[in-house]
Amino acid sequence: MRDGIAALTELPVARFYLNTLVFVGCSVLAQLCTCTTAAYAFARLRFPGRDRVFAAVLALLTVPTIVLLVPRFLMIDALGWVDTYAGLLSTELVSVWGIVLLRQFFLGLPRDLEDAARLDGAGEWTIFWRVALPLSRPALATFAVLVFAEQWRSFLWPLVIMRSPERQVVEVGLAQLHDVYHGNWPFEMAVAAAAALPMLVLYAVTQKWVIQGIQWTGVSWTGEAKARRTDA
Amino acid sequence: MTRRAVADREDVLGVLMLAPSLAYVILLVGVPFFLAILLSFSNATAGSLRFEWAGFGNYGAILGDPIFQRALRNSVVVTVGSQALVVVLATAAAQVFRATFRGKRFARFILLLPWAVPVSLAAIAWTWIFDSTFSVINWTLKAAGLLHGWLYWLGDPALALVAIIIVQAWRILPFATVIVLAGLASIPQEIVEAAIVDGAGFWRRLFQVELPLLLPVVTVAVLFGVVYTATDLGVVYILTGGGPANTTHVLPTLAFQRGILGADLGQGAAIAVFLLPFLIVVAVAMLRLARRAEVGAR
Repeated sequence: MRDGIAALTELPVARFYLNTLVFVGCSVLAQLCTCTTAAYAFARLRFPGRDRVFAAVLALLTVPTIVLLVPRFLMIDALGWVDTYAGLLSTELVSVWGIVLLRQFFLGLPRDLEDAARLDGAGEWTIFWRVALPLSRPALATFAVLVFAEQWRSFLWPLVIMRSPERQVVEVGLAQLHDVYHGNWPFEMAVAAAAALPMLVLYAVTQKWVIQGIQWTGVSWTGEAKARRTDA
Repeated sequence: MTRRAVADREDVLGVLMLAPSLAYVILLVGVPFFLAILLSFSNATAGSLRFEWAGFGNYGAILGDPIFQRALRNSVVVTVGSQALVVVLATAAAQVFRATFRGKRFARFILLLPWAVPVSLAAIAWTWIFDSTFSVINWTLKAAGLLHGWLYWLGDPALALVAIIIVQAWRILPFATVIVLAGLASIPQEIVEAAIVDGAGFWRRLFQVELPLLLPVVTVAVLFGVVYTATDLGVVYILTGGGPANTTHVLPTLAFQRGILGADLGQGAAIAVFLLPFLIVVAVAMLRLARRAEVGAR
């Protein structure tokens, strides 16, 4: 135990946390803006080629990060953004998965309110901003929690793009110590617990939303979008 | 008036709202994807980034490489094995969680924990569970009198693959269970009741009524699971690092080792490209499911 505490005080753990919070916070905000607008356009607005473009976006969902890793690194390197927060963040501003998830949600929103607003003379933007978004608050909260968790766990990209230890995110920063202190179990456990704690707290608080989010991801594909809510 | 009219036209607004994300996806998914394919036909290394056309040189080299063949086989074995395990476990867990029992909230918290546990903690816990001297599994089996020798989980290629399959199944289990549960909840109660009236017991109800109705939902869980498992690098990297003697590599770890640690970008890219056939099958299946769902919903 004393080993563990000593370990945590020697390391820039606070700095790791701060880095992670900035990184995760920015990507959550960015994805809330980008994925929401794109998903709404796909779900509720008609324009030529929409469904074909969506099928293409859907297919991109399966492109693995490991394939993109080197080319993305080369692109960021060409911009001179290696080892900067801009470089770390720039690949995480939109998520294909988020667009698909939120589109599914918007598809399920009742049309009655929208029609009522239209009768009152509201334009399309007003309907999105004043009608659809307020109705989507719980969905957006769920989405934010899922993005937060996903970004908190991101490992490979920060590992590749960041060089300076003091700019590293908490997951990678602490895992790198795993290599240095391998076999010192009390030390490692203390470090790992420190990394895990925020996620566990978040999960304990937002469990319901997490489950809801997973249900949409999966069940929406099979046309059971309005599946009865389970209590599990 | 004109400004308002433009923003209020459905098609104009649709394109405007989509354009930023679409441009971004093209720039940061489409372009790198194209570059990755290009790289796989070049002999670029991290030292010299010239795009020299190497034709099918990289592909020829890896196809003749026993380590690559092994990694390809491992990728298939791990993906198929872990998904099979997940389907069984998730169906069982969903049956348990459908019932009400004391401590259900706590049990659910534990079940979904893999979702919340970060890589670093999971890595340490699992390396400890499979450790050559401290392995919890071995000590438990020994205490139960089931094990006479000693299992070197991560030192033996076959056992190491089993360990990898277990951890991969553990990662995707929360997701699969929640999906199967939601699927169970959407089965019309009348059908289940009719089966009960007809005298179907638990097992017949499960295999002849519920599982066929759950098939689409389970398919979705498996499709996501395949993508999640086939493209994962972390589990193998942390548990075995591809060892012993390069016998437990999967495509992503081998691509990482050759392309990034070994600086042979062309070969790394070529190895990663071999993931695509798996994923194309998944993408096609997903598109079909999505289309059928949309037709059904209208």
